[in-house]
Amino acid sequence: MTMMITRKFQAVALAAAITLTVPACGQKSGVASQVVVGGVPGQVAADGSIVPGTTAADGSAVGVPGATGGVTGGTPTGGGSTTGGGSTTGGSKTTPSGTGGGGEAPPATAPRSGGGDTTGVTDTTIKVGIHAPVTGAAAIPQQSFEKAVGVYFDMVNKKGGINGRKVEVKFEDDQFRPDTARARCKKFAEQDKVFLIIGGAGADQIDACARYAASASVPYLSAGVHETRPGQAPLSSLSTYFALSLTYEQQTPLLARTYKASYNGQKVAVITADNDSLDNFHGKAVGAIKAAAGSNLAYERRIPKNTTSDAPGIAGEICRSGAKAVVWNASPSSLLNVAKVLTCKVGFIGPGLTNGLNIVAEVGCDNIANARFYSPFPGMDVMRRNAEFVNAYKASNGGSAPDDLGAAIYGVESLVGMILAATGKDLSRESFMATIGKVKQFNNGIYPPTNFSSRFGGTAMHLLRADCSKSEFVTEKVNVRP
Amino acid sequence: MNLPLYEQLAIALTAGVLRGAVYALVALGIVLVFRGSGVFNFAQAEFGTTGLFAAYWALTVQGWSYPVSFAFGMAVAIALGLLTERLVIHPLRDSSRVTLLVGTAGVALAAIGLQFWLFNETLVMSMPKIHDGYFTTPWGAIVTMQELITLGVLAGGAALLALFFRSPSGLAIQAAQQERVASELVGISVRRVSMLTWGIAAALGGLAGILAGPYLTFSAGFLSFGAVGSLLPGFMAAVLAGMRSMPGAVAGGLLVGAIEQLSSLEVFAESIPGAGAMILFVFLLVVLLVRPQGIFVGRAVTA
Amino acid sequence: MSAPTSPSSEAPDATLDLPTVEEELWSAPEDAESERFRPSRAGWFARGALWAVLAWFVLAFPVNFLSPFTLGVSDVSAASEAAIFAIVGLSLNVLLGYAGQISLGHQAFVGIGAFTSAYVVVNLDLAFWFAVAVASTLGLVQAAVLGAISLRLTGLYFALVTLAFGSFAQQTIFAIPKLTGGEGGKEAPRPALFDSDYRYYFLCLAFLAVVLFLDWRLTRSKAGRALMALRENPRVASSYGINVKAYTLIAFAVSGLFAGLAGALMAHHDEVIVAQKFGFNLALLFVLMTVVGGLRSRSGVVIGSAFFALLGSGHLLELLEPLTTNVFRFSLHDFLTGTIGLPIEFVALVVGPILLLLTITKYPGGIGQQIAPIREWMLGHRFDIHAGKVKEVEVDDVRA
Repeated sequence: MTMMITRKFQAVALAAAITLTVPACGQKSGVASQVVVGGVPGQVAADGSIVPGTTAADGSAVGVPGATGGVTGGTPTGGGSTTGGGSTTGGSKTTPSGTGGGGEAPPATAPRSGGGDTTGVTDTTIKVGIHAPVTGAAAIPQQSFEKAVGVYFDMVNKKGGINGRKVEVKFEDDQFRPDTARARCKKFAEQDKVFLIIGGAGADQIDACARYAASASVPYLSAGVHETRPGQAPLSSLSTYFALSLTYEQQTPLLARTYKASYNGQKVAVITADNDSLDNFHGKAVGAIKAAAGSNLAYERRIPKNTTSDAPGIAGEICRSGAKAVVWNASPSSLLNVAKVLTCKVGFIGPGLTNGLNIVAEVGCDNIANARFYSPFPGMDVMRRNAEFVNAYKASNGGSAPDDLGAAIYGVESLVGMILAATGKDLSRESFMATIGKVKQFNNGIYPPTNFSSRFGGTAMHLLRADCSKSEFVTEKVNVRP
Repeated sequence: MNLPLYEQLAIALTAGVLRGAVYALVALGIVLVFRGSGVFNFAQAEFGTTGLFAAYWALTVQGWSYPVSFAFGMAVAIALGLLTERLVIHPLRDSSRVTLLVGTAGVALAAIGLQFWLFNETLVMSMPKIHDGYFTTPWGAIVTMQELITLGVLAGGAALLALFFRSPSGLAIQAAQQERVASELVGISVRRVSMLTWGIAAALGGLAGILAGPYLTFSAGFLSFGAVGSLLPGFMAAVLAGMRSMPGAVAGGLLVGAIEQLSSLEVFAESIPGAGAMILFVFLLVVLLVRPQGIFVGRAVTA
Repeated sequence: MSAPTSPSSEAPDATLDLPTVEEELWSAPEDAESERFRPSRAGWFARGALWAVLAWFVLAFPVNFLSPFTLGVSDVSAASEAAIFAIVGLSLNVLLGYAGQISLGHQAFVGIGAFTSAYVVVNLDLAFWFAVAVASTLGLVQAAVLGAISLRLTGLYFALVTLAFGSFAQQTIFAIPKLTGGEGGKEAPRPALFDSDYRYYFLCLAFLAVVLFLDWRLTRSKAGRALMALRENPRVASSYGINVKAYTLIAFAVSGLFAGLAGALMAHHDEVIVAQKFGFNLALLFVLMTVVGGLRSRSGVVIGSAFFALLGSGHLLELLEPLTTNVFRFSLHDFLTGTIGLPIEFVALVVGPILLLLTITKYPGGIGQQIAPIREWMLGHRFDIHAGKVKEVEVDDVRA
């Protein structure tokens, strides 16, 4: 096993070396930074009113509890612009060190000559594509994503849009399948001609679509997933890809820390789905847990993506290993199946999944009591207090109450909205992507603040805990940095 | 986990025999129908899933008690079996066997479609167990009470079937299956016999579905190719039984379960993905090449 | 096989004029009849017009040529998929229709063809055309080997062997990341010339035409006639010296060839091909579309397959929606998803089996039989509502 791990590390190191060399070519950051700094300040003031108080107000009004020091809920949009915008708060510019192990320098930014690529943008509209699973094998409520998509943009449109442009959202069901996701994204790019694409959920779907989007030069944004897939270029090398939260790999130190905090000295198991995109994560997670637990790492295993009939065997092995904590990165439905047949008590710890976890807590909370999972968006206990979110969700969905997927999509949409706003009136794909690289921090009070020193812009995660008295995941800690 | 091989083997065989009990119930139904109608009944497992969905609906949506829900699930399974006989098998009684096979596959697909449609809103379905207990065997295998109950039901059901086939109705069925015209002449209604056969087969399927449902979460097609995919293992057990022997079907089911679980041995589990399916495929080929007439065929076989 | 399977309403007619089997199934009746009947000029014109409309619908409409409609890439992509499904349907038709054998693992043949082709193009860096040839050959070999094993027994066992093979392929072969690219799928790039979805559609159509031609040749060959004789009466056939097994094996091989080809086309159609696609549901859908299309009717199988492909992807309902809302003032979409709560993706799964059961119990000729009058008329015959009323269209198994 040690052999395998060292080999994995070598591979990681190699990958990092490669990625570091990639961005060197064709980058004219000097020009870009000028453009952005010139363009942003004027907009920031306007933003404050257009994307109204989302940021500053939320941070305090919603009262994300216990925000970790250093990141205050300042007006983040202006973070990068120091040229007298007036709305920037100095404190919010703290650049967290050590984000993203194998990341690369700021995303490639082409100089904006005249208009740049303005596909999907008119004087009055911006067309945005979002894909997420509505149907298919994912344990996701049929209507959750249908309801969630567009909530934020609807609200913004009612208030006049972003820099005077209304956001037109195209939504496609990717059926929780990478091939469908790719086909839908192709439709977005070639048929609908969208400006950018947002990946709603599902690591493999996000991966497939991000690769297509890069080939079609469409900006692609999603929550953080994996960083590499064997036999494929790393996601960090895709010229249009941006992860808005920490990747699985970046979260491994958090998992080790959670283990140490709650289960120190007890036996621990690492269970990862056998998706090859998680190879890298699994290696890193095992490494991190080994460093934290030493010989207490009792069991590690890859399990089928959709664990059904194998569940009893896996559960039996976990119990026989004597593990009290299980680091878990596999689908929620697999978690349910394994938890259902467990004959011993274990605490689950896991990285932020894009599919929402409350369904697990609703169906089988007893089996996963006190499970701790990281998440790019806070639990519903916090989000329900976010009046703007709740009202926007209700307004778009005939008064029905929001769920965690609603919060997830709202979080992504509002981050994208902030970036669009910060880009300014002169919107092209180039200027949009340049803005992501230049603005130090975007903070919408839902996602942890971003910092795009690499393709992976996440800086922190929220920690959620399964509270079986409420049958949902509640927020234990926000903005936990690795 | 570095258990010694014999311990791994003991654990795998225990799990295999317990899983095999479900296969055996399905196999009994398959054999029964094949003897009765000469049909490879690909809807057999879906009788079970449909019964399970009905029981689940009764229990969680309607809030009926467990026994009532169980009975309701069984009733729905049997109703589906009888409907299949009336609407598909009877009209096609003079068609070729492959046509009948397509018909039963159609019934299975229709059942799966209905399950998808009607339970589309329910994400993860989880049926409570009859008894939540479990124990660990001395060799480290974990046995749940639910699995033991299934095994017990299999034993009881097989015994009842054996008794039944010695009763006048049972003898009538056997007579009708062997000599249709002659049976009609002596006053046995072939039609009623056919209904009875399909009813019993569907009941066996229903038992398999409702008892195995609580093992894991379930979704449409659960017993055919879902979490407890029993269609193929059930057929393999029936093949081992020469498609005719009832005790053979039971023995075959347990054997197929055990063989499939060999895939959980470390040698396979670590190196071959989906080792269970591979073992089953190879096993089927070997059986068909070496002993196509079956292994557990018993004495009174008229193959 | 003694009693007619057609419903009573059709039975009298069916028993009255029994043409020889030869005419009815294997050589179109046109040879004998066309000398007697010559359409009038108006008749030729009408037929020509209908042919033109058909040609427009297949060749021009999907690519927005001479068309008032505008279809996007996803629509033409669905049309390509329909053509590929038609190839699968024809593949299954050879087995089920000609040889009387049912395959419940056809999705595995198609899937292995798909991944093989992707592997040849991506990992071996060889040409697309070569990849298609390799995939087709591999399909042929697989089907022949499995067929040879199950031929030792009665035909029903082939169903079991293919079922086991399907689950083995799905869970074991398709779980090899080297071959299938893992859960994220395997890339299967198209040749540069056919990179556009519109051009790829014509590529699929061309392959469909080739398969139709091969299928037609097969039915006219000695093997085809032997298979027919076998199905009619295996004992008599074998006593006349027809080698039952050899000819059945040919059917397996041809079916595997078509399936492998369809797989290769499917891979490069999707561009990213995932193992999830090839589940047991797909195997059942293949059987369903072939039987509903009408066994032994090439046109019926093609229409049936295309119908289910478009129904499954939701495009059929999308295309019909403007028609139903404007003409009938009735939204099929709203009715399905709203009134009866049936999501579009499940329509094929719910409607399909009902059509299947109706087909085998009431209309064994499937779509092929229903459209036979028009087809015969278009081929220059007198319009006859009873045309194509085939007597023995049931799936019959030569040895069971």
